[in-house]
Amino acid sequence: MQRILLAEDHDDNREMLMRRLTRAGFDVRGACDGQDAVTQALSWKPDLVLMDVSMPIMSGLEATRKIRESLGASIRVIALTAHAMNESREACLEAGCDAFATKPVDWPFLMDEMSRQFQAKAS
Amino acid sequence: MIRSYALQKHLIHARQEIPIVIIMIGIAGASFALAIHQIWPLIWVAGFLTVFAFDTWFSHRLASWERSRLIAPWTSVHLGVVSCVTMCTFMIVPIAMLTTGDIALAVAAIAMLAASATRATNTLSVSRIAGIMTLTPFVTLPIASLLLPVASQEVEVSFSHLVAVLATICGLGYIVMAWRYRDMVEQKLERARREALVQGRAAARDAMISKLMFQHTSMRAALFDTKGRFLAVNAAWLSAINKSEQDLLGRTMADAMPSAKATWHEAIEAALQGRSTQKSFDHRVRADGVEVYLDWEVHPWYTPEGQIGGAIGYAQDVTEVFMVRADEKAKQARLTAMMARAQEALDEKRKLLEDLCDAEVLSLKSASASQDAETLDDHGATPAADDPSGPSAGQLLAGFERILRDIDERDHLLATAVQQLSEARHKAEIASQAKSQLMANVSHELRTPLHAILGYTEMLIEDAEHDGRGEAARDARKVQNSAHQLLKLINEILDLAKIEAGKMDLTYEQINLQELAEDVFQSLGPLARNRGNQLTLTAPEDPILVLTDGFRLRQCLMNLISNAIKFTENGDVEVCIARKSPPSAQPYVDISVRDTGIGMTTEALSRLFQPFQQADNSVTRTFGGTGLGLTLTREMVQLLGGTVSVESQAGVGSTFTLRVPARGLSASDVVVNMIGDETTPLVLVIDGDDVSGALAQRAVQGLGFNCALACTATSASAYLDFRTVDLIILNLDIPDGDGLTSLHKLRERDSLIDTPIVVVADDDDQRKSIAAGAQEHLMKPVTGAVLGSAIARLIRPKADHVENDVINLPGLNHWRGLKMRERA
Repeated sequence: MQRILLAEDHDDNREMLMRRLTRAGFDVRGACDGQDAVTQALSWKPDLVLMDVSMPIMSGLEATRKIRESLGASIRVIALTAHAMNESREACLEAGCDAFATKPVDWPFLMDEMSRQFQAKAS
Repeated sequence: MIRSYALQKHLIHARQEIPIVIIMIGIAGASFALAIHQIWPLIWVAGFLTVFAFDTWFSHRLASWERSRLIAPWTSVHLGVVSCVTMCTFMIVPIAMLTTGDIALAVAAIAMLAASATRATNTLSVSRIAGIMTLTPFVTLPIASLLLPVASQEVEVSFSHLVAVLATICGLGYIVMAWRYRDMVEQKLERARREALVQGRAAARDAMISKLMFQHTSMRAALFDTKGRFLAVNAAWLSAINKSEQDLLGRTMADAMPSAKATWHEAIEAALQGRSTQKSFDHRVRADGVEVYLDWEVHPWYTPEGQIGGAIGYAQDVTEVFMVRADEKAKQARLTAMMARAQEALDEKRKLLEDLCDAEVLSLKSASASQDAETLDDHGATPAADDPSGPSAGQLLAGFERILRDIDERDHLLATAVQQLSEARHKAEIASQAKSQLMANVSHELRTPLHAILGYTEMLIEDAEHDGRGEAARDARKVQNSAHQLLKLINEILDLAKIEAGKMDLTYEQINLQELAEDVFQSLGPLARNRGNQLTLTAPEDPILVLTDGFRLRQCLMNLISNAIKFTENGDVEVCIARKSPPSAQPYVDISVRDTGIGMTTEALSRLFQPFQQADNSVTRTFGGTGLGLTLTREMVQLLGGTVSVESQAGVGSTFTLRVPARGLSASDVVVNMIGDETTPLVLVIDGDDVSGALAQRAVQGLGFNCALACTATSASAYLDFRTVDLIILNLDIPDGDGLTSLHKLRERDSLIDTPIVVVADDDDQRKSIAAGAQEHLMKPVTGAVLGSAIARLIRPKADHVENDVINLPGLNHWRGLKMRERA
C-alpha cells in the first residue's frame, strides 16, 4: 500500500482529503503544519507528500526543501495550493516539488498526477 | 676678440721674455759700462728698456685694433722694429768682447749670439718681415765692429771674467727659457686658433641664418642705417617694388622710392630717434593704379654697444584679408538691414493683431458691455466710453501683453495639471498592484473553503450513489454545480485580474483546432442536448494546426459555444473553422460560432464586451451567467494576437467569430504525431526531403516515440521556442540555409543543452558534425533500422532524466515533458 503524508493546516480540508485518499486505497497520515510534515516525513518515510503551501510555523515550500535535503529524490512531493497565480507554481517547482495542483482539487487530475509520481518513483 | 696669429705669438713670447731680457740686458749693460769705464752702454740699456715698454704697449694696442684687417702689415713692421732693437741690444756683449779682446767675454758673447738667434727664429716663425728684420744685426754686426773705433784698455781680469760668466748664464738661461716655452706657446696658439675658428663659424652661421630669415620671409623687410639709407633689403621687398638691390642699397627711401608715402619717411625718421611706428590696412595706390592695403611697421635697431644702428621696416600686403573682412562687414550690414525690415514687418503684424484684438474687444463690449467691462478692464484694453478715437496704441499694447500673460498662466496651470496627472497615474499603478494582490488573496480565501465544499460534496455523491440514495445524490450534485459555478466565477475574475496586471502567462504549443472544437463539443454536448440544440462542426479535412495556448483558446471557445447554447433553444449551433490566407497580410484562422438563438439588438451589441454586462439585464435572470465570459474571451484572444467579433440580429441569431493568427507554423511546416501520451519521449525530425523525413518519422514511431516533423530549420526553430524535445534528427541537406550552421544554432539553445542530436548527411565527415555538437553522424542512405538503433541508443527514458536531475541538482525538478497546467 502506497503511503501518503498529507500536510494541510485547514482541518476540514485535511479530514476530507484523508478520507478520500483512504477510500482510494492509500495509507494516509496527516500533518497540520510544515514542521510536523518534516518530522513525520523523516520518521515515517512516505512514498508521497501532498504539501499545502500556506501553512503556519513552517511553510510548505520550506518543509519541502528540508525534506529534499534529508531524503533526496526518494520521496515525491506534490504541492497543493489555493493560489492560482503562475509565480506560485514556479516557486513550488523551485522549492523542489515534483508537481503542482490547485485547490479546489480536480480529483481525477490529482489521481493521474499521483499515479505518474508513483510510476516515476518506481522506475 | 680675434687677434692675428703673429701678434698673439709675439705677445706671448714677450710676456715670457720680459724678466729675463730685462735682467740680462741690465747685467750686460752694467758690466760692460764698468769694463770700459764709460757711460754709453747704460744709455743703450735705458733706450732698450724704453723700446721694450713701447713694444708691450703698442702690441696691446695693435691687438685691440686687430678687428680691422687693414692694420695687419703694421703689426709685422712693429714686430720687425722691436725685434731689431732687441737684437741690437743683445749685441752689446759681442761688441764688448770685440772692444776688450777678452776670452771670457768672447764666451759670453757666443751665448748672447745664440740667444739672439733663438729670438730671431721665434720671430721668423711668426712673421717673415719681422724675422728678416731680426736677422739684420747679424749682417750689421761685422760692419759695426769694424766701424767702431774702440781703444784697447786694460781691465781687471777677475771682474771681466765675472761679467762674462753672468752674461753667459743670462744667454744660456734665455735659450733654455725660450725652448721651454716654445711648445707651450704653440699649444696656446693652437687652442686660440681653434676657438677663433669655432667662434668664427658660429658667427658665420648666425649671420647666415639671420640672412636667410631676412631674405626668405614673405614679409617685406629692409634695414636702414643711421642716415636712413638702405643697408639691406629682402627679396619680398624688391619684388613688390620691382627693383634690384643695386637700385636701393646706399640710397635713402625718398631717393630710391619716390612713390612711397610720406608716412614711411616720417616713420624712418622716428625710428632713428628711437620710436616705433605701426600701421594696419594702410591704403595705397600702386604705380600701376591698383589699390592695395598694407600692414607695416618701422622700428629702430641697436648695435651691440646699445647705440641706435638705424631703422628696420616690415610691410605685408593684406589686401585679400581686407577684402574678405569688407565682404563680411557688408554681409553683416545686409543681415542687420534684413532683420530690421523683418522686425518692422513683425511690428506691423503685431499692430494689426492688436487692432484686431481691439476690434474683438469692442465687439464683445458692444455685445455685452456690462458683463465684459470687468474682463476688459483686466486687460487694460477697454477704451474709454467717451473716447471716440478708440484705444490708444499704449492701451492696446498693454492689453495684448496681459493676454500673453494670461496664456503664460494657462501654460503654467497646464504644466501643473500634467504633473498632477503623472502623480495620479503613479498612485493608480500602485493601487492597481495592490488590487492585483488583493485579488490573489481573495481568490485564495475563496478557493480554500470551496476545496472543502467540493471535496465533501463529491464524497456525498459517491456515498449516496453507493447506497442507492438517488435523491440525496441529486441534491449533492446541485451543491456541486453551484460550487463549480462559483469557482468558475472566481477563476474568471482571477483571470481578468491577471490580464490586467500583465501576469497572464501563455504556453504556446501546436494545437489541432478540429480536435479542440470536438473536445469542447464533447464537454458541452449534454448541455446542448438539454436545450434541444444541434451542434455541428464545419472544418476542412486536413488538420488545421496553429501555434497558440490551447488551454486559453479552449476557454474562449468554451465561452462562445456555451453562450450560443444558452441563448438558443431547439435550434442550431454551428462552429465553422476556416483557414484564410489574404495576400497582403499574415495568414489567420477564423473560428465562427453561429447560433439561431434570440440574437441581440444593435444597442445591446454595443454593451456586449463590457464586464458584467449582458445584452439585456433581464437575461441574467432568465439565463444566469456572470457576464464576465465575453470580456475575458476578448481579453484573452487579444493576448493570443487575435480578435473576436460579433454579428447579430434580434430574433434571428448571433455569429461570434474568433480570429487567431496561423502563427508561423502551418500543417506543412511542423507535423506532430503523438502516438503516446505527454510523457512519451518526443523526437524532432528536421528534414526537407519528404521521403527521408517520412522514413525518419516511421523509425521514430516504430520505437513508440512521438514525432514532430519539420521541413525547414526555421519552422523547427519556431517549434523549439515553445517545446522541449528529447532528441533531434537533423538532415544537413535542409532547404533553408546551411545544415552545419543550423546544427550550431541548435546547440546554442539552452533548452537543448543535453538533447542528443543525430545528423544525417551526404558525406562521411563525422568530425565536422561532432565538432558542431552532434552525437551521431549517419551517412546516407540511412535505413530505418540504422536510424532506429541510433535513436534507441541516444534517447534517455524520461524517468532517468528525473533521477539524474534530482541527484545532480538537489531541490530542482526538471521533469521534461511534464506539462502541468493550472486546472481549476
